[in-house]
Amino acid sequence: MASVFHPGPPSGTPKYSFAQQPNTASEGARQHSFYPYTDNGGSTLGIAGADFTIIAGDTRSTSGYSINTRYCPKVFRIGGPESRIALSVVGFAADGDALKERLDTILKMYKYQHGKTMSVAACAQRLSHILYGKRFFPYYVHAILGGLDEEGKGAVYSYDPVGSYEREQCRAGGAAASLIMPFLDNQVNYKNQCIPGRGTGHELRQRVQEPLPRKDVEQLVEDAFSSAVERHIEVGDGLQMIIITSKGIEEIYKPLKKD
Amino acid sequence: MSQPLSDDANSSTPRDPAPSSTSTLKAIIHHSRLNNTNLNFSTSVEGPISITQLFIRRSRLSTTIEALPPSPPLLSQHGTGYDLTNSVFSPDGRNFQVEYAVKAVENGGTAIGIRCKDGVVLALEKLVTSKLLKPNANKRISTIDRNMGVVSSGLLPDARHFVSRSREEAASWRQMYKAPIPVSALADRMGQYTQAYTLFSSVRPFGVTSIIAGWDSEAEVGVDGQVGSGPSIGAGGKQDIKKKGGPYLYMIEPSGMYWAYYGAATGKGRQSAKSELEKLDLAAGELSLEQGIKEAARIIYVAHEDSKDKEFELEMCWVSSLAGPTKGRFEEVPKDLREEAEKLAKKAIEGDDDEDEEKMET
Amino acid sequence: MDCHPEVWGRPRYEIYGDYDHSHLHTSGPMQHTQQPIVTGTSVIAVKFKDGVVIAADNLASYGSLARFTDVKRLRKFNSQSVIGFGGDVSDMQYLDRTLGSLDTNENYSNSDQPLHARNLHTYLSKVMYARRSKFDPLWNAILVAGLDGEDMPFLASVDLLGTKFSSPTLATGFGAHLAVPILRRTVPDEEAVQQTTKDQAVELVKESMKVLFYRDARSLDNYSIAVITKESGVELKENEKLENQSWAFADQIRGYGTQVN
Repeated sequence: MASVFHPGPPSGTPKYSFAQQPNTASEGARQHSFYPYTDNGGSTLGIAGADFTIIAGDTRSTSGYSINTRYCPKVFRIGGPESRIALSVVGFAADGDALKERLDTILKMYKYQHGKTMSVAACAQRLSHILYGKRFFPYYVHAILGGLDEEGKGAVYSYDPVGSYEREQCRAGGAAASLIMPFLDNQVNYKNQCIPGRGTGHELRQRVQEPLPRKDVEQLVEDAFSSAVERHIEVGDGLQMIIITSKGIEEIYKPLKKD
Repeated sequence: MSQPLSDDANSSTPRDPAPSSTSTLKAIIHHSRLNNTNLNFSTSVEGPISITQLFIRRSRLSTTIEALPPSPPLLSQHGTGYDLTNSVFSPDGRNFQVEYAVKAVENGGTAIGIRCKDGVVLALEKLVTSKLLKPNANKRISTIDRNMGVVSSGLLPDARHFVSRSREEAASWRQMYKAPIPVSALADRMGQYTQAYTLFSSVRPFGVTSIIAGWDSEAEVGVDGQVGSGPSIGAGGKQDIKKKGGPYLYMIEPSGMYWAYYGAATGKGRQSAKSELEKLDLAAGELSLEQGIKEAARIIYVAHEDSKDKEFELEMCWVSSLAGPTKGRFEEVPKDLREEAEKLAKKAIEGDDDEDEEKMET
Repeated sequence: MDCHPEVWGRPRYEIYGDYDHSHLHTSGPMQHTQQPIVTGTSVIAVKFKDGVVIAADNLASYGSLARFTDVKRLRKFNSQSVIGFGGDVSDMQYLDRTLGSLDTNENYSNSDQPLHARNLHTYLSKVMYARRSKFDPLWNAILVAGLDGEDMPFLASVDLLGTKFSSPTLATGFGAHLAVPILRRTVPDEEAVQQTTKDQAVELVKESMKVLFYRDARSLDNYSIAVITKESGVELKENEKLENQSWAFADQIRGYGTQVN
């Protein structure tokens, strides 16, 4: 019953008139060729101290091997001027921006409605709900939320794209997460560090974890990123750090290698 | 232009109701007899009258009426029942609700429009109802599409609905034709819309008279979103078609009636404004837009003379050709130009007063 | 001879196989744009100390066919912003109309502060992201060039996924690979922007357009260029011709075409 012929829409691959393949009927409905995600590279990092939190990220934005721009922040202060919460998002930048704006609006609305800023624990759970709410069309991002908890201690929460979350001492996210995280395990949580001179085997004693001073943590972050830049092409250009203390929020920018 | 241009806005409206009509009188008497109430009317019934007027009249007549023999009964005070609902004619062919809407317009601040040779200007006497209102805020002249605007006098909320409907019409035209709506088409659509509000008992007519000003582009403009110009010659090539375009001015009344005008005026000071407009000889098409602004400001000041005790703000908008000062867009008249026109207007008025005083003295 | 008149002159089954009925399926999933059809190639732009220069050629291609050669892909929004469109032309026209009605709506209240380039970019990025989230993208890569709220040069990009970013130099499509390195050589950062004059920026963009014409098969030597400054607003020229072309380099190319070694 080939009574009507329809060539069908042009397909994605180049077609040449001299080697035209016969069109064969495809099975069922054609599939979407539009893929709504991309990876914009970059890396983020959050470390909680005794009375401060540092959230950091590089500022490079990439598409494949191209650098879109050398300055595209992925660490944000959210919830207006009085808020003491920072959010970093890495992965698909458009989703990251959308997520940031949503949480920012929610924090502001909370302030208007209740006359006080949202606690970081409440914000953390809210963020989880936002991500989970888009479970079947997720925000393709690795989010890290930082602030000070109700006792004034540094708090870092990290998330997977569908809202599973956990409070942690430190977390690296994004392209160079696998490079930075082991370094952090060793340097922040003293993993695989033993107290010297206690012998071998069962005598070994894990070095006791203690809160790091701010200066050390800042240096740690810089080292983590400058090392990641050496080994990962999607990381570089600039380092942005947001430091939350009880006194307020500071923002630091430091150049990274641009190659 | 398809519509005849008329200098008199109200040549065929029931704006000034005709005095004493025998049929009205008969109707009143007829209904009055059915209801055994007192009849209060003078022998020269002046069409529909407002409630307050009625009370005044009643007290004025009460002495004479008491002396008269028992009066025939009356259904309602006046309008004899034909004014209680919309869309109903009285036996002598009048729609009272529409006439009352016109009354609402007559109390509004004066609004005028002048069609000049290279553009149109709209001006409004915005009465300041409270000292607490912020000066130069609460603009009353509205932009419809980029090349067109509206000013109205009468009930403000009605005017705002009129404006929002106009914007919808302009947007839907663009959606359909990918081009700006011609002023004539907008006037037509809004005329029909206004008229529909005289037809149903569930609604009341618009309490506004609106003046629409616009400039239909004289140059050939592509449809919205056009990216190329197409072939310049040969098949599909363009022909030189004479384009129309130019300045347009319309006024729509509560009845839905609309005409195209050279000069239009409505609101409280419309009579003096109209006589001033007539002096300008706009039909000759000589007046420039720059002059038009000055004349508009002056006319508003002249029209304000009768209600001098009230403060007012002058609001002016204009639209010119693509080559003109507004580049085909409907915009507010720049502050410096408006202030200059206002200064001249004040001077002109004071000059007139001085002359009058001189005459009085001599 | 086939006795059914309806198949006369139609492609033969023996040659073309079964008729592809898939587009007639009404019960299948709703189908949105799956690929651009008539497309424009690169848009390039660079900031300089007083403003921005932006350029795009006047070609709209239908696959490999140079279909329309007078397509204006730079659209002036107002006296301080120009938008350059790459990708699907019909989506560009849709966006152009959308921006037109945005302009009309903004003019309802005679605001002293008209929309500037930054506002426009934010608006466009939300439109683009909303459409990609509906799986119905507007298949464009867009550059917004102009001045921001402080009358400073502004240049930013947004694409069909809603990804947005800003940089002293930007290019879409092929230009991202070919033009950006050339542009960055002169204007690597914001500091360099302050050292660059209008003439230098225009020259740089023209040079990049030339390189794009040399190497991008879907490009044209007829282009539009716009300069946006505070002083003179938008200076848009829509019918420029590439000048001083030199194909001398073509001799040096080896490995494909007629020369095989």
